[in-house]
Amino acid sequence: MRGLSRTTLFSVAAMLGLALLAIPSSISSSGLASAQPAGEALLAKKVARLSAKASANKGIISLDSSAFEDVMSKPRNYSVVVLFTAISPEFNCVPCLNFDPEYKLVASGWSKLADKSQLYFSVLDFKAGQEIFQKMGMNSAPSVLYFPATASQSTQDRYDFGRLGFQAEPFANWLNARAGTSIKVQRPIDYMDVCIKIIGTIACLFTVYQLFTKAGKILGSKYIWSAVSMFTIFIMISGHMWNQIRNPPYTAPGRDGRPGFIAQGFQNQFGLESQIVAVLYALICGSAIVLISVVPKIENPTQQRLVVWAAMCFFGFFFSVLIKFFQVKNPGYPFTLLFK
Amino acid sequence: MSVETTSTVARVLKPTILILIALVAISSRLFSIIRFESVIHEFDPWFNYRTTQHLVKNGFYDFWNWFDEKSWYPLGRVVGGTVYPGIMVTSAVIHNVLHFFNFPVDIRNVCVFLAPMFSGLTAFSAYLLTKELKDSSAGLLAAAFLGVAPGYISRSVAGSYDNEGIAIFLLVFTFYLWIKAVKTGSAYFGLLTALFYFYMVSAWGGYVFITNLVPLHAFTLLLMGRYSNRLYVSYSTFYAVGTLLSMQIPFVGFQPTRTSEHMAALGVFGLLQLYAFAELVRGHVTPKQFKTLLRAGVSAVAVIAVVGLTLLSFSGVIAPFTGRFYSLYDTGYAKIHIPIIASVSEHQPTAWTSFFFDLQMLIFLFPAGVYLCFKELKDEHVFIILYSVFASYFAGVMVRLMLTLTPVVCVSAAIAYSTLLDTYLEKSDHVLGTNLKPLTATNDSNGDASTDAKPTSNGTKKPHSSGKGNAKEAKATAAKADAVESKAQAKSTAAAKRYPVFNWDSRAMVILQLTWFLFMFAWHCTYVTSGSYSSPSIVLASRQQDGSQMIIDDFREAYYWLRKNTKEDAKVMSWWDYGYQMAGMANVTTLVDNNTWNNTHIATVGKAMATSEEVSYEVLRRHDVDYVLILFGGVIGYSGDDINKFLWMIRIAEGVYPNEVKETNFFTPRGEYKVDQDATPTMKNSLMYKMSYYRFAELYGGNAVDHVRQARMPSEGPKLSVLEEAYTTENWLVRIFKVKDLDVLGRSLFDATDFDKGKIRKTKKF
Amino acid sequence: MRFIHSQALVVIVASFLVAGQVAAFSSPEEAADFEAFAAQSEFADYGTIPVMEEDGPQQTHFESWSEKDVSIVPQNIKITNLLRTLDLSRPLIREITSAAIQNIAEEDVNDYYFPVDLAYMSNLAHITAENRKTKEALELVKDEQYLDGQFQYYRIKLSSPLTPGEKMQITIKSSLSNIIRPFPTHVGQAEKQKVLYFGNPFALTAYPATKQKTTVITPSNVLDVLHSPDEVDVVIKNNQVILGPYNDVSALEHGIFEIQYQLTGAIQHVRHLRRDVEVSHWGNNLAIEEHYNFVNNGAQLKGQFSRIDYQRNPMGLRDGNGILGFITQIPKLASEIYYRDEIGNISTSAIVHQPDHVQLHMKPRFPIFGGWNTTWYLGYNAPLDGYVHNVPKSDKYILKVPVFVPMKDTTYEQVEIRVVLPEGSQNVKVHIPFEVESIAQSTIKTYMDSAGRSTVTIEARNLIEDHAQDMLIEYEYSSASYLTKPFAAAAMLMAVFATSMIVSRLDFKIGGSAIKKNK
Repeated sequence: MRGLSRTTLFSVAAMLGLALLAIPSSISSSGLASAQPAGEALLAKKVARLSAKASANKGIISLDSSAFEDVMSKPRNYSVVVLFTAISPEFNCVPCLNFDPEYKLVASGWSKLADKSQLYFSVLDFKAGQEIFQKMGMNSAPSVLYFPATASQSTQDRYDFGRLGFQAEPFANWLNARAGTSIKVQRPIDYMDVCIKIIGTIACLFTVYQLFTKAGKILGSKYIWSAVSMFTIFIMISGHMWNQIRNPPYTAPGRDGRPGFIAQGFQNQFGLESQIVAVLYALICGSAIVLISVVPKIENPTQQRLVVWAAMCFFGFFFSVLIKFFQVKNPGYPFTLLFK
Repeated sequence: MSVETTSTVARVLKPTILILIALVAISSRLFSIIRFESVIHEFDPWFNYRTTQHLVKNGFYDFWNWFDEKSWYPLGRVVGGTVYPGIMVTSAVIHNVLHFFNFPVDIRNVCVFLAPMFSGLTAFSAYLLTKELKDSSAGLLAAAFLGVAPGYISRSVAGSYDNEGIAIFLLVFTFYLWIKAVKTGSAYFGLLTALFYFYMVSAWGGYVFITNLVPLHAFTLLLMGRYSNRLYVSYSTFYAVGTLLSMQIPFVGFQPTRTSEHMAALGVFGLLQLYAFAELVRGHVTPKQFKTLLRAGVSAVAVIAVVGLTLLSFSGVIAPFTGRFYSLYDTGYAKIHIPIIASVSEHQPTAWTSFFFDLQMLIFLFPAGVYLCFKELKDEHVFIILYSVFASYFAGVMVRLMLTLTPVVCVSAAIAYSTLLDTYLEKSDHVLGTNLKPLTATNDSNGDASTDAKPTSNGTKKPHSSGKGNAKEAKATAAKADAVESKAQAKSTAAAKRYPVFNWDSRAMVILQLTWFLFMFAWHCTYVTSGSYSSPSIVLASRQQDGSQMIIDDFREAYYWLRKNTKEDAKVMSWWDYGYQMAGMANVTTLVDNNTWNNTHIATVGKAMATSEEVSYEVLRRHDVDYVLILFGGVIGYSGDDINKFLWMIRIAEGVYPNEVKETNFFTPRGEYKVDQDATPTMKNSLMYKMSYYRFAELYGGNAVDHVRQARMPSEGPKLSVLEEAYTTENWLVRIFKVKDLDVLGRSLFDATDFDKGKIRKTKKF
Repeated sequence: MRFIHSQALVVIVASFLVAGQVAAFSSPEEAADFEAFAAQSEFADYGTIPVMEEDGPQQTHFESWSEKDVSIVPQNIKITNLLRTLDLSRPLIREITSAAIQNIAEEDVNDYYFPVDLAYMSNLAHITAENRKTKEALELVKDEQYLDGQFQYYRIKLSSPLTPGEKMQITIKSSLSNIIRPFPTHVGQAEKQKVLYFGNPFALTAYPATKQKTTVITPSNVLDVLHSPDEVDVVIKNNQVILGPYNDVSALEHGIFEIQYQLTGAIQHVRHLRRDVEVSHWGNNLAIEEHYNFVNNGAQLKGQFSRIDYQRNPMGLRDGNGILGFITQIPKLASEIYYRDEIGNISTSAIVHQPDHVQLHMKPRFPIFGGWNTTWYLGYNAPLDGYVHNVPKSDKYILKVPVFVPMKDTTYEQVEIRVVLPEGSQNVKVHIPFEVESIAQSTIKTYMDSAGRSTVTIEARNLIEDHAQDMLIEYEYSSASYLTKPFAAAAMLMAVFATSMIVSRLDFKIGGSAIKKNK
């Protein structure tokens, strides 16, 4: 217990020492502070504080408004990366949550570096630093700004999530390009995951081996194959790949609060929307198949008639639903079937 | 009426119907000419047109070795080696033949009408293909569908003189020949397949689709234990000849032996050889030895193959996937790594609306057809199934690949549709007891030889291949064969008790509804074609208040001005979209064009557009640019103008010059893309911005509104120092600026302009 | 005063030259300016700069001052009085010389000789002579025999021989093209342009004149005589300049007269016009297509074209020399009229129906300012009846079409007319009312031709409105050849069917028999 505390104390002291050692070099390198000794001392203190904070929390300094001002305040011989985010659940900012671990990854990657080259990672949560958000005109989270050592606060260099994405690697590259660091991202290996995979594969192989005699039949059965391929086709022709690439929301709140499932615009769609379309296709196609291959198997004329009528009405009905659906997407479309 | 008369009637009727279909297919593609004029459309066609003119004028060899120094200045472009010459050669041949018979048809008209003409042929080959799958009535339906399906019309209207125009015909016809080859197992058809494959390779980059689909088919057949000498002969002929021929196209060159896209074909070829060899050996050794041999051989081959491939690919002999294809598999790839590809609109994924828009009811009849293909599972049906699955995937990934999907959709929809009709039209008396399996039975009795011949040939081949030997695997194969047979039996027995549709009313309803749907389909196609796919994007039509049509012809106005009133070797810089049009219509030297082979060069142009005058003037001088051409829609609200494309220019430029161009600097702190007074300083200083809005504010006396972006512009417009306005078209759609020469008195151009404006009082020094 | 100004400019330019700053003139326009300046300086002071070598007319003049020229034609006539009107009010300059002449020889005189300075021969587009009283046209020919180093004499055949002492009055009308040159060479897009005319203050005569006077008419009052002979007094009354009258002017008297005046509007010049006339008896159709290669020879546009200035005051363009459109005439019954250029239809054209003809208002894609070029072609079909008539009871037909349809105030440098006659027409004869460069006959093959159609190609230079007369083409076209075409077509179809029959009967199968066995 005590030993522990002592060790921690030691380590802290050591770190301070290191920081102090680091200062002169930094000053000489920056060369702006060397003009006024007062600033020099101030800067030294600040750097020490920052390094301490950083190393305390896996290389990330969590800021609030005052801390932010303090970090940003001149003199400054270090550059800072600030992640403006809103982790706390009431905002339910999904991308914030997604990006947080990635950011941590990069930060830890940085803290592993020998030459930290006067760079600090910091996080400013919306709750902690609302006014900063306003001051910086942030109206979207998360966003990452990079403040080079020399430049003033006003010049912001923003990381473009839209283009580079939320992954750690592109972010690290982006940062390396600016700070001249060489941060590498090592993702911690998720042993659990690996185990599951291995076991899973083994299991699969085993079952396949077991079923080998039957496997032939399964693989050979054209019903399975037809099911699979027709499923694929339905998925594809109902714009699934579009969802894959554009990943749109599954639904979106419509005017009257209820979730709207039809997206505005011809070249735009929601997840649910495409699924509905797929189902419609399947229904119509199904009724056609019934007409083709079920009907001739029915011996009883009245029964047959029933089936035929039912299937055909199905066909017509859902076709007109589909057309209506399309008309909603493309208001200019002149043709309708049942619903005007 | 008697069978003979039916057959004779059919024999007369079918050609007539086919001809009519062809006529419909052609005439429904002529809207653009009726609406506008006989002119080449859009962008790429202009390049094809230009090269075709060159070919017709200077002959084939000159075209083959043509180094075009008017494009990609100062690099130039080796045209002969970087084009798919198929379409140019085709139209040149047509042109020359016509002239030989004293029909002096203008080459422009040949080019304009090429795609419609070939659409007729496409319809015909769709007929042939479907005839192989079901029967000629289905074939006629398929032809009709493919003739008018918007998904195909979109790329083949009169004037859109592009590779796809002929490629789709070649695609369908090659597939027809392939199926024919597989069915008959004749080297003759294999050879024909190879020849048309060669034609396809020379015509369109999409030939890779054939290169992968056919081997896939062969491979699947192998897996299904359907190896046959027919397959062996046809595939070997096709691959050997086809590959050799395809390597004669300079643009393809040695790719078939290197790039991964072609590996599948090679692999299957090898596999077939091994399989055939194994079959041969099997006949000469005892089963026991054969087993050991097989074990050894298989393992050895596997090891060699794996090791060899890995080595080759690591040593770089086998190239990795090229960007465009890579973006097909990993869909997120292009967005990040290849902005140029991502920026092209036809490389976007396909929303469901597009599917329905292009194929209307076919899109849901299509799976039904696939289902029927599964019911008959002959070799050719396997092919159609594979085609359907993969084509629908690719069509989902890229809009332009709707084109490859459309034929198979038409074919299988036609199968489904005609099966429906058969079921509900067949005469009840002689239907009893028959089944759909040998389709030729219900087929009108002008029995076509091949389908008749098939079952017998199957029968003869199967035992022959699996008959020898009596050990386990022999049994296994036998078992497989049996399985097939038994299934067949099962089906036939199942289908044997198959009843006609008894009640006339149910028949009537089905038929009537289906007919009505056909009508709707026809209307839909016409509507889509005339509405969406028939405008030659170089001439815009707008409606005036009084409803009369107003033609906006600014592009040609600007291009013709350039053509007539700039010096012979004037170099004009513009964004790459307009490169081909400028080369074709303005006949000037361009820096970049739609053949986006050199990303850096394009990025340089992007940089020149996106940076301040000082920086870009350097670029302009270094590339001795004389004029800069931009599109500006702000006056008439043409949304496809350069300010809207500007973000792509910036991105592409940033990819190469990350320190000089930064996308973020073009967004306001609020993350918006603005052009009015809240535009960022970088934006306001960028050359593109200045050119677009130069003296724009004055047009409306100080309070101008950009009608595209609905932005009120500041009353004080931007100033230009290194450029001067050379020409602006009637609706301001195209603006051309002249790059000033260095000042006579050696001042910086900024001082010069200021001096001319009388700002700074300097004494003129002599 | 302009003249001084121009000199000042010259000085500046010269100083540039001296300073060896020619490099400064990197762009061709500037270089052009420079030459223009130099040229002007030439007129201003008689110094000769080598630049002038290629300048034709002035060149000869400088020589001609040296010695007094003597007329080489028989001096059997004297001019009692001569009035000469020089009409500069349009880009095409017209010179009307009416002279009262008297026979001073002992015997009758049949011919009157009219000298033209060789330097102007290339500009002389059109020349006619008539009897001033009776207004009857007099025969006028270029006389090969009377041609000396500087003058080409035209022989005018008098209507009746002039007995000794008898007097008569004749009028000679000549039109000169491409003589005036814009100066200053560059004007703004809404600025009035000025041009220079450089010529002879005297009426050039082959005989001494007791009294002669020249009146120069310019379009407006804005004019400025830069140079004229010192001995004469120049009277300027509003838009006219009167030189003379001079008394006892010797033959071939000439000097320097230079005037700068305002000439608004374009100077339209067609570099090359190709006119295709195609006669089809089958379609009873006359197809006409005209290809224009056009340039505006007015003062070049200063700087660049500014759309906004134009849109702000479209009226301003009236003063400038930009061309917004052309008007041409086409026959009343013309159909399928089209107006295109190398990249397709020019969508901005309108058709106005007049009682006796149709007016085609062609608006080029862009306004054509000084020095700007464009090309276009237009065509139409007209029923043949109005143009061809058959000489009764013979195979002979006569085609009567205008040589070309002129645009107003336009000079045509090269005109090529191709008349394509129906296939199988023979003994073609061409009658053209004026002298042309060449008339050639050939055959071309077009739609469904077997032998090819006999074609007449006529080439002429330097034409103006006055040449727009009818030409007659006479040819024989037998009814037999009238029937060749359908036969040819039929034969072709026959061939196609025959080949298809043969092909369909051939069997290309390899081992076809084996496959047949399967069936």
